[in-house]
Amino acid sequence: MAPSPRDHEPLADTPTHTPNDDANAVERGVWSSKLGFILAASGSAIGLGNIVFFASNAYQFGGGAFYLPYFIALFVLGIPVMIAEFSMGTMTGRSFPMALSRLVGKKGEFVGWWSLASALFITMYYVAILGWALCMMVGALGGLLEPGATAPFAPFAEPSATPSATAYFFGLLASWWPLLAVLAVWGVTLLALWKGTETIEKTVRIAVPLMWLFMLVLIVRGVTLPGGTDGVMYLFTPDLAGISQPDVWKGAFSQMFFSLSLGLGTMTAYASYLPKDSDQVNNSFMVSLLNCGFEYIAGIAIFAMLFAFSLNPVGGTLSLSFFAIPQGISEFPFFVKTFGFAFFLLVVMAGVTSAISLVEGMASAIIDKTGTSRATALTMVAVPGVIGSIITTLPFIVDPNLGGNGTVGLNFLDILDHWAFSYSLLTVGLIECVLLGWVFGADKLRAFVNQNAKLKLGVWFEVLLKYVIPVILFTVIVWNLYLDLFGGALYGTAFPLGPVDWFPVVIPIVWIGGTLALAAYLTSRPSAEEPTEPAVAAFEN
Amino acid sequence: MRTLSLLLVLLAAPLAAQSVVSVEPAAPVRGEPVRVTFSEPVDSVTVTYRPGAISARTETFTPGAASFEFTPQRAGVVSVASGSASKSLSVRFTKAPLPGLVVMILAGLILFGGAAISLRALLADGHRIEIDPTLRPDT
Repeated sequence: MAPSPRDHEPLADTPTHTPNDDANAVERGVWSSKLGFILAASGSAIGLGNIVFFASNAYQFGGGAFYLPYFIALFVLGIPVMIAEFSMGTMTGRSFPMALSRLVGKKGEFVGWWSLASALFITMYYVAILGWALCMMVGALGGLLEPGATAPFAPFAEPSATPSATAYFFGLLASWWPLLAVLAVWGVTLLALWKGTETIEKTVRIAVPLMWLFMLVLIVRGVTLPGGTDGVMYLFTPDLAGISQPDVWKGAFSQMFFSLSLGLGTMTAYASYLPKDSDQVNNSFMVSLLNCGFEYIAGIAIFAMLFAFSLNPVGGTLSLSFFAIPQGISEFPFFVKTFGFAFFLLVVMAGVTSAISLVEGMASAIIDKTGTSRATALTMVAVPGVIGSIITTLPFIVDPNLGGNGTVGLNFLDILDHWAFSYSLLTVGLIECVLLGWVFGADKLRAFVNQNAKLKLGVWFEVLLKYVIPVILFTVIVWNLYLDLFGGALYGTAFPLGPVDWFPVVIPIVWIGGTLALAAYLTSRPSAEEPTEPAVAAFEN
Repeated sequence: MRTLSLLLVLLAAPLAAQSVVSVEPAAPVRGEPVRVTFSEPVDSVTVTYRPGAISARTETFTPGAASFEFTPQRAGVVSVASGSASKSLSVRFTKAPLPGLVVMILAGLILFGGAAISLRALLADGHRIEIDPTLRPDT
């Protein structure tokens, strides 16, 4: 694409700059290297879902045929939205809500806070899952991959005759160990955030390369199993029968949005620690491709392992991570415990690097808004976060007949995840695109990005941001909503929930009410910064 | 999470069925006959290719005996079920499928080739690794 004259128009002295920014920039921190930023952003994007969720979707939606909608989703939706989120961060030097506030005013700030309030809910149960993974990691060195696992309810009451990851997992849920594990995960996360970019960068420089290394080890182990290479071919061989079905395309677009951690404010927060002259086109391509590349190799490892043992890679993140894959590992001919430990260490590392970004997104926003210290901001996020994680992992078995074999926390997590994760990310993405595309101006955003981009964005970027992406996201949201409200009973009402049968109704109400109220409250609070006019006004001058 | 209960059933199925079903050969290959033996005669057997997927295909057989033979037409995960007895099989390819190889190579090239080009741009002159402190946000 030939750069337009506007591509070189100096935009550095936009009203996004305020007199107290210089001091704030020093206080907020900055990445010490671009590679550190890439590692942190890709570590944020690569999470629990990347390890197994892609494999599950690829299996369900036609193997190699799924790559067609997947790549279309990547280039039409994923990378453009990531460019927008990164650019908001570098343009304003602020976290998600305050960046939106500067660009489009208070309504933008409200959307930003709503996104982060939802992210707080997600972080609560996300860390709980990491706590379980930590317990499974320790368990891999003990009894997880051996016969004799039990849980204090049917059908796991008797010791299993063969290794049973499922029995072990439910036995774990009924114990107090996950609470300790959750506290440990929160401790590690806060430690990594203690000095902001400095400690985040140190953490990701170790964790992200290790994640890739461990995944490569799992691939080698998987493809050297009998039938392992057939499993790999099974992943990539296209089954075109389902490609015309709308569910496949919906699955691809949803997967891409979740996989790249868009709509959570994390990418904007991380990009806000970059200098203004950063090439956000290249950064977005790199982070997105690394994220999808990790899914690619994870798919190879998962398909090879599961195919070798005739296990079906269908299921959600939890069921595949905690039941199916350990079940496959337990059938390895040697080094069973080592591989089990390595797999769960990989899960924990992938999850912690994502949890770090989730908490950082919220903490940096609080710092930007209130001017408080990092320690105070982290405490404000951690206290409700830890409480929520503990509620999710309480070994409180109300009734063995409940869904999730009687554990309240698992049902709480399942229903909250359905609403918070399925709707908040996509909705924020939709509103974000509308605000940036129509209120701020897609042309102005493109001009800003093109100032420092080697690969200049064409008019197509504006078309995507203003029309295509909003239409796609709106369609997916309405479709999901239709299925939830009119496609049968409200999600969760079919579960045998016994005394907590009010969960399916109350949890979505509390989530939507709580997050909107929190967003409204935070938006109404006075900002520590000097008030600025929306940047759009100055661009129009 | 939605499929938690489904997966429990899927996981439990092969374990429960192991005592009632046997398969010869243990590693079946596409296009070669597979003999499935149940512990007692069965009237109907359902063979599902890619079970749980949006493009799952089902074939029904009526052996009327404890043992029956079928020839898998597709490679991949196949579920053989009769009543409560079921077993998952991994049907192997006769040779590496060309479409699968092409997709694998193309997808790998796009993802890792693209990442390599981006990395090169990141490390290129003028895109220094160390960030100049004077180029902090908004300074």
